Amino acid sequence: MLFNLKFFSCVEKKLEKLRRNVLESVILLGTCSEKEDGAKILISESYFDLMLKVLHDPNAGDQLQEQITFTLRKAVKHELVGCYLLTNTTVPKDLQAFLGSASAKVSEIIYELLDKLAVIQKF
Amino acid sequence: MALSAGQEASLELAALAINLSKNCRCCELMKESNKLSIIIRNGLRNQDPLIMKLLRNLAEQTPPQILYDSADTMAEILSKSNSSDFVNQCIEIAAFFKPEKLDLTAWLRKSQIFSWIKQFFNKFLTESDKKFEGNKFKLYRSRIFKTCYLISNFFPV
Repeated sequence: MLFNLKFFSCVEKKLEKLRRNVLESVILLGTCSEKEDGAKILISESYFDLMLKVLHDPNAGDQLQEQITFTLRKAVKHELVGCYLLTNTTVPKDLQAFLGSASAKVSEIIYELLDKLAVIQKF
Repeated sequence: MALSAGQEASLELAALAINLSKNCRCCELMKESNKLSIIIRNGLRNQDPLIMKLLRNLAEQTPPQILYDSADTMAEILSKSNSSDFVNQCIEIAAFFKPEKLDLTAWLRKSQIFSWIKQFFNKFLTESDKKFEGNKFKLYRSRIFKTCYLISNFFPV
């Protein structure tokens, strides 16, 4: 029992540290994606796929989910990012399914993101 | 002053400086002092995560111009670094850089931290899986306990 408790608290601590590392990385990637060159790099290094994986992770937490959706919304202002998300990922469906479990703030950002994607999809 | 002495920062001294840097007024005083460039140089040369944490706190409100000036050196050192804590602190500092003042794309290319960032993402996903497996284990264990309890009811003492 004690072993289990120690094991789980150890995993939780490690996870918390990693969550913070990922959060800061996402902030940096978000700033980088403001320019088109930066967005191209994120696509070529498949960071959007990684971010989406983390977004759907049950241990991501509200702060990380908020930051990832915020970064995606910011990056979608470049049409190539929108096209990439629509053609290479299952984003619209995934995000719609994710809405049910997301917090109010994350849902708001996702709705804006879906609106932007819908505009890109029309063209 | 002591942090700029050239050696690696002692733990207590660095901890004090980090705590002080959380205060706005102290932060301003540190930014105004002319020792900041030496502190940055020492932090980068020794790849000291504690000094980098101090610089991160200073950068939190508005990064001082001197940090932008040493961004190139930081990128160069990052490209050769193998200390995960140091890299993480540098990523945190870079997250506060304004894109108008620094070409972040070029900086990211130069610092070659893409592999580090990927590593952070993958490590997080792996640990998260472990926790998920742990929770599954807990669930199974409680189910086994419940089943044992139910079975024991069939055989009254």
